[in-house]
This record gives sequence, structure tokens and C-alpha cells, in this order.
Amino acid sequence: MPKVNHYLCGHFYLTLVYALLSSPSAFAAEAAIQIENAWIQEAPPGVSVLAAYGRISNHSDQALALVRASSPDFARIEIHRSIVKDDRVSMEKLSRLPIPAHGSTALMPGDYHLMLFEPARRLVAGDSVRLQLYFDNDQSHGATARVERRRPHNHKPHQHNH
Amino acid sequence: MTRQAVKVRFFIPTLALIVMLAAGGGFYVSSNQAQPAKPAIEGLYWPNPIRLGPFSTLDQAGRAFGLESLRGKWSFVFFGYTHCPDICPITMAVMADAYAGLQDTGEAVQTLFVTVDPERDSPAKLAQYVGYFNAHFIGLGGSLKMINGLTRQIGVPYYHGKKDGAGHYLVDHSASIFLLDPEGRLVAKFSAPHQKAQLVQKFTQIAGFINAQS
Repeated sequence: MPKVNHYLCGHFYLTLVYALLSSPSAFAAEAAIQIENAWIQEAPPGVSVLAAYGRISNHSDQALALVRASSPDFARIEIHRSIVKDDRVSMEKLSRLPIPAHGSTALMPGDYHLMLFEPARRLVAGDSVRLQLYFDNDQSHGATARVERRRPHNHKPHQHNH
Repeated sequence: MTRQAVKVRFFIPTLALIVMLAAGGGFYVSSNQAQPAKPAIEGLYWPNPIRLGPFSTLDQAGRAFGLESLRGKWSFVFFGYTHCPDICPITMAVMADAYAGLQDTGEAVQTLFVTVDPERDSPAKLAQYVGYFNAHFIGLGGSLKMINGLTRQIGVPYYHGKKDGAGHYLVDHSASIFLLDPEGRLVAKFSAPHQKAQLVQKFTQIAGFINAQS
């Protein structure tokens, strides 16, 4: 049904353009920080610690840092980084995760992640979880993370600076 | 010079000469036999695999799992803990993905997840954990003393961090996957990051090589 798909796509873009044009101030204010592709790895049953990943972009001229996160679905959240060195894994708890000016920081398996403690419910692939991320400029941003059962890729730790 | 000193003076070079001749002779003999070449795989403990001695752990059903449980099967071993949200599930997922490929080699293969945190990882918890990745996976624990019988022999240090206000703690552990042969010898260590295809390919080479040695 290609016709229907085209129609839907066109409609989507029209709606998007309309939304952008009708509220330019709101768009500019919220665009400094952008949270994309937030997801949580589905965990085995009974597991009380999960991990969330995604990408945080900073479109402003100021370097920012993620300092805290919360979710109604978890008792608490910490910012962590996995370090594999000399065949040894350790996790480092971070008090701040830097997001460079006009750059972004990726949270991904084997690297930076949000450590999610004590889920309020069993989360399975397809579920959505609300996250609130707090930055050192006193702003906070909401994001919806999808629970997924992803297969591992060969991720390499890196930071994107544009 | 005393008589004792003279003896030592001659004994050491003579011994060194014997060792060199023996090694050279051994090399000559082995290079003349039609044996498969040792695979060029990093982490292969050959020709000096570590033969494991007795140990005693509990599996996820609370049954004894010791040295004899390794006999007749190749064992892939990973040391982790269920409160590890990032590296452990990644590694377990790779081993789950590789499992079918390993079975396809025709070799008997078992996958062992050994907890380095048996206080929090009860057999019931391990059962849920390993079963999520693959119904055939085996989870080993019991007590710190029990798992030390295995970690010390394989040479995998682990470190329990300090408890935070909520009683939570992290455990540093090995990122490697270890391979034991059907005689209970540690024959290889695979370093992270792990990939399904590489695990299967390395195993195929190693199993072919070691099977040809006996």
C-alpha cells in the first residue's frame, strides 16, 4: 500500500513543519538539550539493576553536564561508566557526565550508562519508561526510554563532537 | 674452591646442556610429525594448559558441580554477577547467540556462568538469570569459599566494592571468557569485546587442534 504510506509521510512532515512554525520560541528554548534513542536493556527476571542508554546532544554554546536522573519506575538512578582494562571490568560511578557544547555524548553498552536500581515492575521489551534527566545548568529534560531486547554489537567507546 | 662448589659449577651447565638438547630433540621430532599446526589464537594456553584440580560449587538447582562435571564436555566459563547491568548481560547475550553455532561443531559444549557475588546470587536467582539467556546454561555459586576453588585455579581475581547507603555494592571481575577442555584443562582465554562469530571460529580451531593431540 505505497500510496497510503506516502500520504502518511506527507501528513507527518506537514504536521511537523506546522508545529515548528507555530511555536518557534518553544522550539528554540527546548533545543539546547536533546535526548535521542533512549532505551533500556531488558533484563532477566529477578534482576534488580538495569541499564539505560541513548544519546544526549547539547546544541548550546555552553558545555553542560548530566548530574542526576530519576524515574517513577526505579528507586534510584546513578550515572556509571564500564571500564574494561587488562581483561578486568569495573564500573565507575560518575557525579557528572559532560556533554560538550555543540556536541553529544553517547550512553551505550560497555561504556557510559545510567544504572537503574530496583524496578517498580518487571519491564519487558516494548514497555516504556519515563526518565527525567537533570543538568548542571539547572534544567531538566524528560525522555521516554523503550525497553528492548537488543543483541550486542561491537561497540567502541567514543564521544561525538560536532 | 670446595668440592661442593665444584660440583655445582659443573652441574648447572651440564643440566642446561641436557635441557637444551632435549628441547631441540623434541622440536625436531615434533616438526617431523604430521600434526596440525598450533592455531595462531591469542590466549591459547598451549602447550601448557592448566589442569584443574578438584573444586566444589553448587549449580542453579543446588546440586554439586565439581571437577567431574567438566569431564567429557568443553566448558565456556564467564565470571560475573546479576547486579551487573552492562557488561555481564552483553557477554551472556553473546554466549547465548554463539551457543547454536558451538553445538553445530558436533562437540559437546556447556556454558557456565560463575557468580562472583554468591551472597546476593542464590541458586534460585541464578536459575532465573541463566535461564533467561538459554535454558541449557548453568549458573554456579554457593559461597565465596566455594567459588574461590574455581577462581583461584583459573586465575581470575575479583574485588567487592564498599557498600553504599542502600547496601548496594559493585564487584570488579574478569571480562574474559575461559575455555576448559573435556579433560578439565584450561586451554584458552578469550578477551573482551566478545563476538559470536569469533567465539565459534576460535573454538572450532582450538577443538580441532586439541582433539588431534590425543
